[in-house]
Amino acid sequence: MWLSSMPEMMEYGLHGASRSRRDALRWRLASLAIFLALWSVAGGLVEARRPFNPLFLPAPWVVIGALLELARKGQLWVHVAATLERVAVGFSAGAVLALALGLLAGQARAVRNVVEPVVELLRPIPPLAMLPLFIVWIGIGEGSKVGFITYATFFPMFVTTVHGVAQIDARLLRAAQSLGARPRHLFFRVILPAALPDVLTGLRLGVALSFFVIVISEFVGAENGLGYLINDGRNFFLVPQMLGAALLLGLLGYAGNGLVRVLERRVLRWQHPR
Amino acid sequence: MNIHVRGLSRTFVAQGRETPALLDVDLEVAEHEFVCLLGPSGCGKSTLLNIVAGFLRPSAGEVRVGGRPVTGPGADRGVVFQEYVLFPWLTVDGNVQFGLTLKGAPAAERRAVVARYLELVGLAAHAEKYPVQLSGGMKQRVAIARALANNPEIILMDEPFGALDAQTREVLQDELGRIQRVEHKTVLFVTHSIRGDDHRAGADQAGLSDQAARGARPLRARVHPLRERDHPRGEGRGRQGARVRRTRILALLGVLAVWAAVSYGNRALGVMMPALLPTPGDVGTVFAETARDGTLWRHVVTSLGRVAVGFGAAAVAALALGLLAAMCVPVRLMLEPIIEFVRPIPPLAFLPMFLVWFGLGEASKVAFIGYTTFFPMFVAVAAAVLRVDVTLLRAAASLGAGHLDLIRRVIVPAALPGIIVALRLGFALALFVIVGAEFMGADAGLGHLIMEGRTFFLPAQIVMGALVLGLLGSVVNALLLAAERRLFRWREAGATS
Repeated sequence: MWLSSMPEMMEYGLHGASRSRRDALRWRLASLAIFLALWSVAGGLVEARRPFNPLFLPAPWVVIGALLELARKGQLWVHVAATLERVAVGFSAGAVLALALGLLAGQARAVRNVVEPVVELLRPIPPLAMLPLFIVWIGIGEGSKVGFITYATFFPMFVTTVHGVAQIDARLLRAAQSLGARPRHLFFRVILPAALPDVLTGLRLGVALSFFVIVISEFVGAENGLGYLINDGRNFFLVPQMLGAALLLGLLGYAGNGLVRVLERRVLRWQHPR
Repeated sequence: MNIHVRGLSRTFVAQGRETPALLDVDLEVAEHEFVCLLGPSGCGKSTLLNIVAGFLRPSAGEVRVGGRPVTGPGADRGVVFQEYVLFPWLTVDGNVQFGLTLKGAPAAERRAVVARYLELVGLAAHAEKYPVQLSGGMKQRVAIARALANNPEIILMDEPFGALDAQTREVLQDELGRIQRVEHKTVLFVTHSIRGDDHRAGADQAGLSDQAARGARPLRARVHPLRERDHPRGEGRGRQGARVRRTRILALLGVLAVWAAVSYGNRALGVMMPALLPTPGDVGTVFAETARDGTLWRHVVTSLGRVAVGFGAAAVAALALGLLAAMCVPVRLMLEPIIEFVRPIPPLAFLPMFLVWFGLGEASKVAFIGYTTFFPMFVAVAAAVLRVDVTLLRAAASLGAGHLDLIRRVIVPAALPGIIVALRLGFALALFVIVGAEFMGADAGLGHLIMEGRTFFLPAQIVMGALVLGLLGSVVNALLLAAERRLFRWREAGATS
């Protein structure tokens, strides 16, 4: 039986015995290899036996081939750059806005009372529902895409920042004050560092959400970008191109997440020193 | 500096009732004196200390420190808290020099002072460690060094050894006596009651204060044995809650008023095309029209139906696989990397694929929602199960629970709150993406309604659709939260006690 046995559970709980790094890496590689193997076999079989048009399920090498072909023609870079630029600008604007307002709202009750009701009103609305409004207002160009990312990413980042500021242990503030801290000291030396873990969590959510929503705004009226590439693939029935662009998006999202994680490890070393 | 307390009273408001914690207290602490406040927990001694520290304001009476009335916390009165309250993001070194940094002391001076006080408390070797790496006793030593390094005239200690084990407490008491012989501060020291086998500790404290200064004296005060409530957040929560709700409702009305003013103003003045900025009236009209001819309900039911089927199937799969993955190590090791590989891909990137694979009909939308919601729910369910405490498993096993009992009676109930949260997340995500799915190739559903608003240039219809979606999400979320509260009453009871 594969289920954890009683003695195992008693000793390690459900996590199982801790594994060596090499062992863990071996499992990881094996798992991904099996995944790719199954995909290849399925793709190969479909191509050989043709139970349906093999275009529906391209094998991995076909997908990679499509990407390489696009790269060779020099188009791939244009699309990647377009998407990255929109995400970078939209996300940065959202982050600046959310952090500034969030830090302010976390501290000043008056700001909080004004901003929070608006946020609470808009937050339950799935951001995608607002996309057409952005297009109607700003037009179909870059503005609506960037603005939409800013809008969508603002909410999680704002909420986590406010939470980070509001949950600060009041005793830390007391301790700092009895060491002579004045309000500006409190902000820069206590509130900001104490809120940082939540702020960074918010940034990570924001990065993920940017990639989440950029796709659809590039479906709906764009001439470039990975989302455009996917939708273009749909119109011309180029499944390998669609899958390849999706994989690339995943890679970019993964890299963005990794960047924030590196930042987290740097700035939040105090949580897990060494 | 001396401490002078005259006629001090402090009342707390809790659940609408006023409870006095201190009533007419007098206290004199002369310069360099070491005074212990002894008393059972909850008798108001911490309140007294918090008032001297400037954290709480007196209801009546006065507190003077060095002749000046106390108006707030200040660097002249260092505080050592029971729970250490170190700044977790600073190293030991950073914590000890915190006060000096605020004053803008030069680096060389700071280094010298830190070295001296870390030496004094015996932590010279640990300067670069972070608080999480220290034991309770070491943290309290850092807290003492931090207070001393700021060179205050007075040190206020609020049960500083209360959270430590008996042995560490004894060692630190001796150490504090030694430090006080060097530093000669004015000290106000709050400590627990003396009873039973605490007697030794009490005797030590008397001894400590004998060595240190002129000994512990009985407090010339009537201190009332009432519950201390010195956490500002706990104060009058009920009344505050009502006030917060009122300001929120007012603010919401304000938002609506601003919207109405801007949109009607735009209509009157013609700043931009009136259709671009629909008024609340426009949105209401669209709502009434679509509600009357039944199209709105058709769209709502269509969207909810798709969400229900797709989300339901994904939830069942995520529960089964999540439980399996959490309880079966090889399955987890196999699945984890694949999920890590697929998950960063924004699900919407696969939407056109689903249209190609499943056609433009219902199947593609339902399958897409299932695909989108499965991964986060699976990950959250597995994580909730993995969080089950090993001591719970041990406790159940030592009461005779077998393998299946463990799963049924311990693992599942313990993980259930996390599982419900996973479902809530999944549902929110389903509402999130159904809109996108209905943008592309659908002839019904709220997403279609919204897209139609764009195609035929009816911003009012877009806004109406968005508001209906937000309302749906809020209602479902509130229902799930209420169900959660009902199901997990044991959790709240545990959280408040």
